[in-house]
Amino acid sequence: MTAKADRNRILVLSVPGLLILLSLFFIPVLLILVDAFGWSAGSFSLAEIKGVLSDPYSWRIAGFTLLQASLSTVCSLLLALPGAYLLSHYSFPGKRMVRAILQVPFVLPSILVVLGFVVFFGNSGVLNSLLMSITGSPTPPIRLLYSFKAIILAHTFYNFPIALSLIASYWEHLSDHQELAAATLGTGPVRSFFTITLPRIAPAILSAASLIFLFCFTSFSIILVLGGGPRFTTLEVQIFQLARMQFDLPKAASFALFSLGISLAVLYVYINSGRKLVIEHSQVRRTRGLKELSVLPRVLSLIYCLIVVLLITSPLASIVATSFLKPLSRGGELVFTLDWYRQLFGIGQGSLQFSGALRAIRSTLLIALSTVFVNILIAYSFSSLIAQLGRRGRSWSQMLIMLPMAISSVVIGLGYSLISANLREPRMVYLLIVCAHIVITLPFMIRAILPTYTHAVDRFLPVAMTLGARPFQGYRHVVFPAVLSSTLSGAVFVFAISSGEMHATLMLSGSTISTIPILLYRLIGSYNFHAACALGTVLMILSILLFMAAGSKKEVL
Amino acid sequence: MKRIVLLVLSVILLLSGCAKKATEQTTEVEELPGTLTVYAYDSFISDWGPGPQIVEGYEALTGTEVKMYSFGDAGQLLQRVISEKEDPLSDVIIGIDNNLLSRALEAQLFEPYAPAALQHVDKALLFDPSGHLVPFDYGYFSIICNTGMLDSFPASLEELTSPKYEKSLILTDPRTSSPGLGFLLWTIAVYGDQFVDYWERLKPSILTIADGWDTGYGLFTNGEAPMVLSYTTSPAYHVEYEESTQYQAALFGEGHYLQIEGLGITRGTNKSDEARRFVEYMLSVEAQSIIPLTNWMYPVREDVTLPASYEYAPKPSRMLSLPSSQVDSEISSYLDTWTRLMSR
Repeated sequence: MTAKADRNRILVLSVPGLLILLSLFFIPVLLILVDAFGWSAGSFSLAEIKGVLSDPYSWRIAGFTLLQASLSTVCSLLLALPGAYLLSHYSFPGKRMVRAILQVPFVLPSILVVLGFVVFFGNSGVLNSLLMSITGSPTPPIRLLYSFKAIILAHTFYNFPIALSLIASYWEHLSDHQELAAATLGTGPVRSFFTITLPRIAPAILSAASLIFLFCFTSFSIILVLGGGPRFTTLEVQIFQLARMQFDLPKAASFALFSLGISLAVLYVYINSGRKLVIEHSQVRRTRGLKELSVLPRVLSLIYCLIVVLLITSPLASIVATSFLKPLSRGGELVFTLDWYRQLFGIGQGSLQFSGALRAIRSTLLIALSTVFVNILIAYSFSSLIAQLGRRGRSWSQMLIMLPMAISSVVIGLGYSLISANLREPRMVYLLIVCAHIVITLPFMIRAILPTYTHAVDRFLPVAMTLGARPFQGYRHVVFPAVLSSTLSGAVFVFAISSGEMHATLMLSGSTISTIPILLYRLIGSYNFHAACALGTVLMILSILLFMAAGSKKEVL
Repeated sequence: MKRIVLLVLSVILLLSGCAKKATEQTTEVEELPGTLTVYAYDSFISDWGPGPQIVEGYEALTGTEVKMYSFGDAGQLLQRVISEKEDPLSDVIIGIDNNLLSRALEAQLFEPYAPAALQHVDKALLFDPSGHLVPFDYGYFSIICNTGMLDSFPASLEELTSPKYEKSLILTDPRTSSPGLGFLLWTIAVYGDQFVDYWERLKPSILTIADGWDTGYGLFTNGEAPMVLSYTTSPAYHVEYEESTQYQAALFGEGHYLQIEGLGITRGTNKSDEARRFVEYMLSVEAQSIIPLTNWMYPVREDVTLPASYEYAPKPSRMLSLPSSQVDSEISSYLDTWTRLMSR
């Protein structure tokens, strides 16, 4: 068996993944985007695109989109770094729980995150009511929401766990020999961090930054609701307006292309700056107990933990609290109740209304777990493929895989409707939805595993082969064990995104499959905000359990 | 930790066990012989919408099986139907409203049909003079007030601009939601070309503009602001299910903007007879009585008794609307003007 045969086998293995990407993403999206060139009218012209490019308004909203996405990315990274350091260097009681809770905002549909945020930070929210009763002030002391600050805060809250998780799982594989050596030579900790540590963890930082940037770039609800309306308008809102309210598909496609161009340009910078960095890796580091720290850092890390836990858990806790409350008749004051849960699981009266909840939980789990499983296989095959490429090839192929995140979700939605209108095979729906979810979540998996994967292939594999291992043995015994930890980090996000996904599921199934997010939106849409919170709470508990299980698996490794 | 893994797995297994009882419906649109295929917007077919009861009623009456599908909101529904135009899978389409009418008619998607029951319907609600779309329910946009937070209600659009309502109003965005568009058209119906000045005056009263009605209303019921854009029927929900009269609709002297929803028979269907019977059923007293407490709209038939909670869903004295053709041709310029003004 030669190395070449193995290379061919890697190519063959990545064919199914390529087929899924082509049929569920590239072809439909391309069919939508060519509208920008007047394709549907049967002609070719650049008029639409020129129109978008020459309108100062386009550039103004593009500028704002870039500004808020960059700021949100920086804030998320800054908040994540100390946490990533703590998680990768120290062990403390409740660490696994903290890790699991951090990922929860991702599982929740954005409508619930926004509402949870408002219930806590809002003008008549928990925080303000508390402060008003303490200070006796008649007006809310903290006016945080409906401003630019609120957008950045919400984005940071939503996204910093990505950075924390990705950086921590990379960092825990780096030895601190270099830092120790520098310390013996008299380098201070600050200088050592900026000149030694930061460049070493940079690949993970860049990975996380590119994901967060794209998330914020296409953000929608958070910007409109928490920003306080059209003062803050992004490209994504403009595309939605054109495609869904004005039915002006050519113009929407032009705007989508414009938006894609900008986000790809930024992505290119990210990926290429990662290329120049030296990537290194060693075995899992031994974590120390927090007690080994001196007093000041210990206090600082406790304060940090407190802030993070407050930031993450308070909106979530507001959702949980709301799920146990019911407005008292006539008054408006709230009383404790289990009614929403009773109804949700069809216990007692009114069960007819809520009978779909169990089925929705089951479909959600089924789809999300299959997505995770298949996604891992495809991500491995792609990573092997990417690892075979030269440096330039690597950065281009990464750009291609990131595309589903960079393209406007409105355009992807139109792509789905194209697929579902033309594909009339009823038994394929589940498979179709899983495939669509794979396309959406693949960038995450790949971003999570690629830094460790390419490193293992570049460094460990040749060593194993010099020692006489055949390439496939090398992968099995050297590469896969090295990437397992980051695979689990990625899997958690894939599960989270898949179980919170709604539009693809709705479009591709014609609403015949209902999942938790679909049910949630329908509940809120029919005034049942409390029951929606109950369902959201169930989703949170399920995912915390799953994430803790994944975390325990990780610790064994 | 193994225990947690086991726990999670057993929860999943338990759930799938429970859910297996609820037999899987066939998914994806399928043309079954003898089955009527109905497209609607998502909230219509949801467990809380009228869909399930309508299906049950029609099947019991005629013995014909009905399958309902949705692809999102009414706009997405229309786009879907247009994309299937050459080879339609649906027989009946529910949910094209007065704002989408002109676009739907232009695409020639429907067969004309006038069921006899239209004689029980107020002439003002017959929104499609060409007779392709049959109205089945209607509602008025309205500002809903939280009586726990406000002593007096505004009585006109103009009063909303009063300084005492500073940062008191939650609206929804006309660029992303149909109630939001309804409110914009309302101000245009009242102020005409001067609507820009009105919005300039209204700005200080607005707390935030949500992307959808659901988010905005969620903020409102959580007490973020005393007023929200919704429908005159919203208070009836709180009376019916929460026995609360805390939320009330403010009636405006100049009238309220109207939304009329219609259904039609897909052009090219091979089940015209069943489709006609479905349209007739939608206008029957039985189906019309399902509408108020599921779709939270008024039934079009005048001889239907409304539920007691609808005492709190007052009908305005004047209905306002703009011609559908005007909405269709001007919507881009309205939205552009509005966006440029509001983003200043």
